[in-house]
Amino acid sequence: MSARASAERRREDRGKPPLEKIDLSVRLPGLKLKNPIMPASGCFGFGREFAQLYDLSLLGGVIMKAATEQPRFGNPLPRVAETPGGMLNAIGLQNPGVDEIIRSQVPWLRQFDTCIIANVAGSSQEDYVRTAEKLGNCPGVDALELNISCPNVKEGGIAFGTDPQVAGRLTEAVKGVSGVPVYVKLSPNVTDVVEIAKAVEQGGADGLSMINTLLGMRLDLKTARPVIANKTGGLSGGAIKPVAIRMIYQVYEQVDIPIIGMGGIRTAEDVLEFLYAGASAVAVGTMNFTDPYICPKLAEQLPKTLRSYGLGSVKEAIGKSHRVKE
Amino acid sequence: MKLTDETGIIKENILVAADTYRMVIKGDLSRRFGPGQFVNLLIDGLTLRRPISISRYEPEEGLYVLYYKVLGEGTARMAAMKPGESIQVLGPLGTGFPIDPAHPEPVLVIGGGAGAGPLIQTARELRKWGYPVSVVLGFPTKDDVYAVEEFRALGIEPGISTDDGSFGYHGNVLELIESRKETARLVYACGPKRMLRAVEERFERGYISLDVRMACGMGACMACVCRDRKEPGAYHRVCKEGPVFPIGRVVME
Repeated sequence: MSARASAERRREDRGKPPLEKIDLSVRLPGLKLKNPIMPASGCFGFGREFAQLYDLSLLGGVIMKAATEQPRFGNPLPRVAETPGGMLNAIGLQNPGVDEIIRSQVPWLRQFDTCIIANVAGSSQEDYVRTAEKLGNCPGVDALELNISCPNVKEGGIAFGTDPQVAGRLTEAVKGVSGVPVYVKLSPNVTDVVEIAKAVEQGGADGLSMINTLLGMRLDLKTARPVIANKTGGLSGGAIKPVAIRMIYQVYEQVDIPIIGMGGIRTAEDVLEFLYAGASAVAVGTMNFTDPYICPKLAEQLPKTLRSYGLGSVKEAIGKSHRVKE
Repeated sequence: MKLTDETGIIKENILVAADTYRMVIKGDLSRRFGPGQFVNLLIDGLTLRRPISISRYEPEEGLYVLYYKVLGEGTARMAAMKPGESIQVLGPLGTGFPIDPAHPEPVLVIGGGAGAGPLIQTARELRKWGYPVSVVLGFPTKDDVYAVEEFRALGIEPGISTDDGSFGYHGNVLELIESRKETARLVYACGPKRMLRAVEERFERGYISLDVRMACGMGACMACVCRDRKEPGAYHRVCKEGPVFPIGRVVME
């Protein structure tokens, strides 16, 4: 940096708190996050691969890959494809089953100083509840993320996230068996997301997670067939960020429970935008594939970004856009 | 093994056959590869990285070589990159070709199309451990033929087949093998699925390297999973337990 640039930088920083004083911590039901950055469910497995690259204790929390009652193999290949500003996936909730996750993954993750959120999926209310009961009372698990929004499985998943009554009832049933707070992960593939958000709040949800992927499709011009073997897939990545921001903004005004925001986050500025819209913490998904170091990088860059917008803490940024005068 | 996302410097990126390029990268990963492993390359403007096999590595010079075929947007963008530019390289990834140094025996190396490249280093290692190596490569036409000089540099004259007969043997690489009356019982193969299926039918012992769409490239996302052929419910991640599998291990969808 030139002498002039650093002099300008000093002038800019005058009157602002020093970087180490910027408070990144967030307290949410069940979660004492040291920072608001978490890898999103499905993009991080159970953390073992990323632990080869960095210390997972740098993360506010880890949201584990979805657990179902029985092991699932998932969909035929290809399961992923590039799209403008993002990607499609139809993995199909491949996972080793809840018992194996509790036996081998949760204990391993507990070695890190980070919160553990278990994502729960299912195909009937009964198996959702049985899986949630196990994970919601598993030592080390701090909260559940109830996945009622996976677009890539035939039965269950999204079917529970598009009808407010069904979503509310399932939330209530899961709350009844879980020993830890429950965050309900909402689908953007609905006409009115606020209606679903209110229904799960009524059902006793402690928080919301939003958004899951947008249902999409790509065709191969040579074969005239869908690129993804499942035909449709979930769209994620930077392209969906404005949809996520819009939905979080709308829901924040209508519910009183906290929101974990996700959908196309790539930079620390994106994180701030989610906080402004009303998220209390964020999850980063697809960007982990582009840059496997993105989560610790965002945690490191966030103090500077907050300060450059005159903020001393994450808490001050949450919902800021709802407090500015028109 | 620990993974690294290193900033490599492109030393060369040239067309060597129809839509086929050779990229040479300078970086410390050159000292950490094994035969048949791959890297996941960050390409400016794209979300998903592109997994490309390592064809050869030169630890002393700090270089590694990738042969790749332009098939879509990612590889087209790779082809436009210039020497001197930097590139983010995640590696070393995957489980490559195993070589048993204690029991050398005659081995047949079978490459099809873009699958020829990754076999260069494999043939080189096999020779190093005293295996008598013969190589057969199949391509669609003479314009697609590449990597021949690489094998010659190892002292191996590869047999070549082309589907249209414009170069070498007229037919596919399996037919070429029959015509040569190969006696090796152990094979190392990389190529299109159709070829690998034929290899699995013809040979009982050896290894095949798969090429499937991936996302993370390191075993987290479950985008590239194949079922085990024998054990119900068991599966393998092509990017982690593969891309190389023993013949008969996985179901190729």
